[in-house]
Amino acid sequence: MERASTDAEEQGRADLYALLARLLFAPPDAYLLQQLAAAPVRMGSSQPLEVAWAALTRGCATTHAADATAEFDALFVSIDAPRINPFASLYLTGFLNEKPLVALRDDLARLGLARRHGAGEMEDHMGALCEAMRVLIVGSGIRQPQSVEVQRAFFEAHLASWYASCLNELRSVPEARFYRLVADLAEAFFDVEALAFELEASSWN
Amino acid sequence: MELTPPDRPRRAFLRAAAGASLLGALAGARAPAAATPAAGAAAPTAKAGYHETEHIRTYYRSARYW
Repeated sequence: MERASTDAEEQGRADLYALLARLLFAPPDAYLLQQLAAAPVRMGSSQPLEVAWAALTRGCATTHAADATAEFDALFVSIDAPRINPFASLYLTGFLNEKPLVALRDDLARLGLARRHGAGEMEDHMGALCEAMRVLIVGSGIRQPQSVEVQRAFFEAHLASWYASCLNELRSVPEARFYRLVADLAEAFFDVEALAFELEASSWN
Repeated sequence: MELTPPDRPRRAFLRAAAGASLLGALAGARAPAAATPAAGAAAPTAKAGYHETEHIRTYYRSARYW
C-alpha cells in the first residue's frame, strides 16, 4: 500500500541512501566533510550502524578534502584500472556490463526509472542503486513512493547478493582510509535494510 | 496514516538499529522547501546541532542519477 506521507524512519533510510550515493559517485568536499563531522552521534551505542556512523563523522573531522579526493581517485578513477569497480555485474559474474545489468534495466524500466542523460556510470553502480532505493522509498517528482514489498524486491534482486563482497574489497585496499569508513557505514546500513526487509516479509506469513 | 500491523516491527527495528541520532542527523537535512517534493511530508523541526539543511540537500541533489 502506498503511503501519502513519509515517516521519520523511511525518510532516514532514504537520506542515508542519498548520502551513500553522493559519496560513491564523488569524493566529499570540505563543506560536506564539515557538515558530517558536526552531525549528532549517539555515544556509547553498540549498534553496528550507529558505531559506523560515529566512526565516519569522526573520520570526516580529521579528513582534508584534498586527501579524500586523492583517495577517491586512487580507488575508483585511476587511469589504468581502478582498484574498485563497484558494479553488480562485476561482482556477480566477473565481468562488467553483464546479465545483472540487463535484468536491472528491465526492472528499472518497469519502475519508470532510466539513467539520466549525461550520467556517467552504468545503472548497476552501487551509488546508482542507492539512488534508485532512495527514489523507491520517498519518490521523486511525479514518481510516488513504492511499497516496502517493491523496495525489498529491488534490494534483494540488485544489491543484496554482492554488496558485502564489494565493500569488503573496498575496505581492504590500503589506500582506503576515509572510504574504509564509508564501506563500514554502507555495509552496516545494508545489513539493517536486509534484516528489516526480512522482518517485513516474515510478518506477512 | 495508521500503520498496518506488519509495519510496526520493521519500523521499530529501524529505529533501534539506526538510532535517533542518525535518523535525526539525516532527516534534519531535508529542506522545508525541497526541490524534490515529498508528497504530504510536513516540514521537519530543526534538529539540534544540524543546520544549513538546504546546503546539504544541494549535495544530495548533485547525486541525482535518475
